[in-house]
Amino acid sequence: MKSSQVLRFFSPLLMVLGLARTAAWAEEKPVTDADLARWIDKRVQERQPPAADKRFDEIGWAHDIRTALALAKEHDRPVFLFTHDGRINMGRC
Amino acid sequence: MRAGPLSDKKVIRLLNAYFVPVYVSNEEYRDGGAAPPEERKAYTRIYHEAIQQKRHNGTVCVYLVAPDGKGFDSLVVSKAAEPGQLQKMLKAAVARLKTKEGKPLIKPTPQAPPPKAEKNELVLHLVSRYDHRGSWAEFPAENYIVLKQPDWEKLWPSEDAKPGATWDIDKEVAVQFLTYFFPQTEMCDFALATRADGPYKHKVEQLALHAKLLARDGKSARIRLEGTVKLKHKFYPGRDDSSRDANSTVIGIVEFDASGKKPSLRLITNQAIYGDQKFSVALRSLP
Repeated sequence: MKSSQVLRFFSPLLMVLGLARTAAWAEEKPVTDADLARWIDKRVQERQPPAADKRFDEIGWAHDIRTALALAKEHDRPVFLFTHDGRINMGRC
Repeated sequence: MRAGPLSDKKVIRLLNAYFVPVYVSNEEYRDGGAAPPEERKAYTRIYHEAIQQKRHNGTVCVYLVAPDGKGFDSLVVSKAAEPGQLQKMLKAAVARLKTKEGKPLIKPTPQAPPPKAEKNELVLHLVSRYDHRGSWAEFPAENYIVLKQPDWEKLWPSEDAKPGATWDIDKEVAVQFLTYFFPQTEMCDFALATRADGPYKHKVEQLALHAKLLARDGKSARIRLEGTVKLKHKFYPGRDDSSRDANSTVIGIVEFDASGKKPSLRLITNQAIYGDQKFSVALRSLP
């Protein structure tokens, strides 16, 4: 393949990469005072945990072991006890 | 576990339909922990029962206890987190006990709710996460920080400040939230997370938060924040990994409305890196 053909073949890809770089560069520009609130709020929103990261919350957890044992006896169900380090609910574990 | 089986819809369905699920943090249940003595006694009994019966046991472990209070199965987390293992264990328990399917006995609720705070306190919610995914980056870390009124009042510009005026935010105020600007790490002691004498040797090495008054009208004010924070925080407790620095540049906004009551604060990392891994933080005040 000649160099001109190589260039022609890859030019759409190079264009996409170039645009992506330009977009990334644009993203790095200091945000203006006028745009600040909108710019910050968009990123704050984007960084909130999505529902998929909160499936842990879909489980009906008992408050403590004694509550779980009492409910187990009352409703004839086994207790599922998970012991862990840190704070799994906060993602600091 | 949270990113694996405890996010698996089949496991969640089994737990809600057939079990009474409960999770406890070891730091609450060890000697001197916040859990009441009777709670600690219940934990210890289940743990010792597993040892006596030569079942899986440990501090990071899953235990199954029958309705009569007797433990009958257990699995250390390294095994329970393997694909399919926890589901298999739960199904076997249901078959063994002939447990009837039903609705969750406890209504599922958010497990990381905001702390109770006084009306004049400013509650901040922080989300921190690696930019990549997988392993420790599978879900975000969260923190709540409560700023007391004398502290959030220090975000206020001086009485004579006019738009364009600049100043530095009190470091003793800024450190209260910037100290959490690090991603998820192996955290065995949440209460000691930011203590210099704790297992993570946590230290705020450098911090600066500059403010610029953008607008002011009576009691309302809009303030731009920009700054940097450099932390030391070991990834593994007690291990020597001194290269684990968390360096962030941050940008944010504080808005006081005309009521002059507590402000709205939003602050994000513009660039942040922990060791050689990028991460992002979003901090926002709750209404």
